[in-house]
Formats: sequence, C-alpha cells, structure tokens
Amino acid sequence: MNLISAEWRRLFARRFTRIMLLAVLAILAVIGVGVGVNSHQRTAATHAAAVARAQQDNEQMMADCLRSQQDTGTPSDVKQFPPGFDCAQIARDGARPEYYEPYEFSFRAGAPALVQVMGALLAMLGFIVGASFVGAEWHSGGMTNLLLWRPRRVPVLLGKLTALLGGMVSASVGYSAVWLGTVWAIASTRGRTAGMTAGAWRSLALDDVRAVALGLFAATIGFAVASIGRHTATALGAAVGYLVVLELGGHIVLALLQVHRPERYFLSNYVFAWLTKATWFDDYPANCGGFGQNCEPQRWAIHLNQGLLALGIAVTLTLGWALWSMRRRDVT
Amino acid sequence: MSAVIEIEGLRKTYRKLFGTTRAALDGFDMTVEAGQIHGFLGPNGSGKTTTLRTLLGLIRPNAGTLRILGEPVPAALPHLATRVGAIVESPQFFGNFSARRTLSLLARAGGVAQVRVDEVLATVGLRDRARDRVKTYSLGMKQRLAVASALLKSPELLILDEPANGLDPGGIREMRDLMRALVEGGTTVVLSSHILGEVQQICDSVTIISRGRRVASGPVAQVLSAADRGEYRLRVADLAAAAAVLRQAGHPVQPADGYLVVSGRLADPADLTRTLAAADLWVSELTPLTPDLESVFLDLTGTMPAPGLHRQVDESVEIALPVAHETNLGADR
Repeated sequence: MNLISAEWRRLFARRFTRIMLLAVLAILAVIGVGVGVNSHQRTAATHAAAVARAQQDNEQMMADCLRSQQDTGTPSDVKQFPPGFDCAQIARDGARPEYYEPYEFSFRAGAPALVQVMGALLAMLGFIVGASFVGAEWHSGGMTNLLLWRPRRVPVLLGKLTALLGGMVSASVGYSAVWLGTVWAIASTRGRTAGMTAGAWRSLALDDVRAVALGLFAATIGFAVASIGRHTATALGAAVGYLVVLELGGHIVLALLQVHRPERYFLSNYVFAWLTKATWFDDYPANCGGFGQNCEPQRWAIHLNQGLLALGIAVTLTLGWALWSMRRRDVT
Repeated sequence: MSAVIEIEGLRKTYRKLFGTTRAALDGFDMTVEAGQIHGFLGPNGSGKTTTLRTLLGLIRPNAGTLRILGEPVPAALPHLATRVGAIVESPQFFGNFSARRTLSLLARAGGVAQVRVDEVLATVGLRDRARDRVKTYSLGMKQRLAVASALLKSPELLILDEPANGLDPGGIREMRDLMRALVEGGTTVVLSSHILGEVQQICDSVTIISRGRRVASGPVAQVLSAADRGEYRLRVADLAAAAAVLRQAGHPVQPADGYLVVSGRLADPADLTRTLAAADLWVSELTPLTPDLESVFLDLTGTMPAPGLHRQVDESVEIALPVAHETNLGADR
C-alpha cells in the first residue's frame, strides 16, 4: 500500500503528467467552445424567419422557372430550369423551412459522439502518460533505486501500474463529470436537452464507461511497452511504427492482395468498435467494378464484444511480456 | 566477528550478439566482516559493479552463493532490504523533482518515517538546497543525494559504489568522516572506489578483483605487508662504489635514479650503514620502501602503466581459479 501511495504521488507530482492533463482539458475546452458557438437555440421567431425565407426562395425559383419556360429567362435561368422542366416540382420539392433553421446542438443526439471524442483523448493521455511514467523511471535510474528499496520486481511493476490506473480512473471520472456537465450546459443554453429518457441516460453512461475503459487499456499498453523497452521512446516508437507500418502499409498490401474483409486485421477498427458499439464496413462482391454495374455491397460489422476481445488480447500480451521481462531480465 | 557479506564461487556470464559470451564474474569470492569499512577494488570492467548488483538482486548470477547478514540472497532480500542501504554506480534521479520530494517518495515506498528525510539531507549537507530541483544539482550534490537515499533506512550494511565521484575535497573528507561515524555506530560499509589513497586511509580491509576473480583480500595492513619486498632506498655520494661494496657483502642492489634499491629482507638495516662506513662511504638516506595500496593494486591487477603501452580495458591479471575457495589472504595468489 505504501508503494502504491508513493507511486500515486509520484505520478501526479510529475510535470509531464500535469501538462498532459491540462492539454486534454484544453482540447476538450476548444471542442466545447466550438460546439457552443455554432449552436443556436431554435425558437418561434427563428422558425418564422425560416418559413418566410423558404417561401421567398420558392417564389423566386418559381418566377425564374416560369420565365425560363416562356423563353424570357436569362441564360442562368435556362441552365437551372431547362426546357420541359415541370415548375410544379418547385412547390413539391423546393426549399423547406428546416433548411433555414440554425444548427441546434441536441444533447441526446450529440453527447454520445462527444463522449467518444473524450474516450479518444483519454486513450492518448493514458498511452503517453503510462509510457512516460515507467519509461522515465527506467531511463533515469529511478527504477533501480526503487528496486533497492523494494526488491520484489513484479509487485513493484504492478504497484506502479495500479497507481497509474488509479490515477487514470480518477482523472477520467473528473473529465467525464466536467465534460458531460459542459455539454449539458451547452445544450441547455444554446441547444436542446429534450428526449433524455432513462434509456438514453443509461446508454450515455455506458458510452462513458467504455471511453474510460479505453483510457485504461491504452495506459496499460503504453506502460507495458515502455517497460519492455525500458524507455518511453520505445512505446511511442512502437505506436508510430504500428500505425505507419502495420495499419497504413498493411491496408495497402492487403488491398493489393485482394484479401477478403481486410479491416478485421487492424486493431484501430476494434478500438473504434469498442467506442462506438460497432464499426460498419461495405463488402463489395469480387466481380463488382465494371462500368455501369450497380453493385450492392454486403454490410458487415465489428461489434463491441469483438472490440473488447481484441483490446483484452493486446493488453494481456503486452502486460504479460512486460511482467516476464521484469522478472527475468537483469537490471544493468 | 561475524561476516556481513559472504560470496562464494560467484559466476555471471553476459551473452553477446551471435551467441558469444563474456564472463564478468568467474568464481569470485568475498567476505566482509561486521563493523568494518571494506574497500572493494578492481580495474574498470573487472566485475565490481556486477558483483554489487548481483548482491542487491538486480542481476541474476549463473552460479555461486551469496549471503547478506547471514541470510541467502536474493531469496531473503525482500525482508533484508530495510537493513541494507546502497548506491550502485552514479545513480540518476528524476530531474524535475526536488531532493526532498525524491527522498520523501522513497521513504513512503519503503515505510520509513518522513522525519528521516530532513535528518539525512542535513547529514549529507543538502539541507539548504533540499527544495531545489535535482537537475540543478552538480555531480557532487547528486552524489550526496544518492548517499542520503542510502542512509534513509539507517542501514546495518551500507554499500557505496564510487561515493566520492564528483565530490570536492571538502566533500571527500566529509564522506570519510561520515563513514567513520557510521562504522562507530555499528554500520558496516562496503566501499567501491578508485581513489586508492582514500581507501588506504579509511578502509579496515580490502578485496581486490581482476577479470571476475579475487586476487587479494584481507586487512589493509596485511595486504600491504604481503606485497612488501623488504627493500630500502639508499643514498650515498658515490653510488657505483657503494653498489660494489654492498654486492661484495652479499646484498642484492639495483641502481635507480639518484639512489640505490637494496633488497633481501635485512635482519638489521644498520648493517648497510656499517658496511658502507667501513669502506669510507657515508649514507645520507636510508628509507624502507613500504608499498602503498596504489602500487599493490597496480601490481596485483597487472595494470601498472608502462611507457608506450596503451592498456585496454580488459587487459588485467587473470589468475587461475583456486581448487578450493579459501578466504584467507594469499590462498589464491
């Protein structure tokens, strides 16, 4: 318990941790301001203005159309309404008032996506802080010092990881409260909060839990990879290498080889599925692609449970390797 | 006296690329008695740090037995840790933390009372700089902080690897006084250092290692006397005549730069003055040539510099392994 408490203090005493916590807060603030500035509450007045503007535009189009059909229109009228165009269509399919309504942020529709954004930021925060927390310790000799004080290698590593995950949970709970509060405030003052049934709240809470869990997964993986390499740069290099070589290069190679459903081989799709409940893909038939062919793709998805499985495997492999390495390798 | 550290037949082999190996420790033995300052000496790359790291559980040995305070390590290290303080090589600390925070976190992790933090900071002379970031410290100040971290636990055994590294002359003297005070308080200190004059001055006993094997061990006086060849430096006005007279009297004589070296373990050095006086040659200086630790070390490890020779790191004496591991002086020489 002493170790976890000391490591907890060490985690939050680190300047890098504080900077990263503030950076995530700043990014969330920018997103919140962006959503708030662009959202305008719809009122009876905005609706009346939209109706009037739609009516005005339809009348103008009708006049242009009639002129064009009577050969008195300008070249642009003729281009817009060619000979034989049925002007009655304007009344049927013309501008509608909702086209002229301002953008209004809906808490029910928009909050899940904003929670997912927070989840992505938590993943980034967890990975970088987790990698740095143990990587800097190895690099600076702090781990050697610690092992002289507590010569139990695996418990020491797990103690540090526990402190990290505890810190991540605390930070994530704080972010969730602040972020959902902010989003609710935006919706209340500049958008709408209607439609939040008990089911909608439950679904949003699960979205938030998955976002927090993604941060913990990423923190564990970053921590484990940096511990294997005994340097922060190992984890950051591995992440960049994975994204560039395996995700980008792998996509190209699998496309060249015409591998069936190549998306299932990339971790990012499982991460996305975990955050969004499912990631959907279009699977076009093999003989599709001829000129004028009307292909109907087969829709398929990576689901939430598959996302959890993939993340679980990634965490188990990296953490298992890190623990094995901690137990077996010399500290030189 | 009981042994605080007992090492027998320690072996550690490092595997290099392409399957080749290098033996860092090759049947190394060492014993440190309680209540002493024990010097642990050896050329660069001889296996000192590997020995200390193995003793502290940081490196896994290939063979051999190790005991600290009578208990086997690394098995007993978890509960021995509170009784052993150590710094291994020049420890690096997290630069953005202050000395106080660094020690405070260690104390918390090790279950040591926070009051000890200020005590040890004062002991090593860092009290007034305790709130400064470690990255603003000089090498000597970092070294003091390292010693403070080792002292935090009030250890029974203190292992210091190059503690004087980067210290100013005053700091070296303070370190010497500190070690003396610790030993008087019942702590045993193992000191690895290349400052042999310092070691000779402060240590009660030494172990010398070369290429992973012990080449000498025992009380400092005993190691020095074993290397004492009973030679005398003799100055006289006519060196050539004096050399001839002494040789005629049966004394082995070597001419040196402005003096003669007379060897042969004289029963009574006055024989020399008497013999030369009889030949009307008058002695102006007769001094016993007592070896110092530096010359003994260079001699035993084969690292004495020679003009025109550029000795490489691993070029030191490699002794044959003893048939049985004996701990007394000279058994393996």
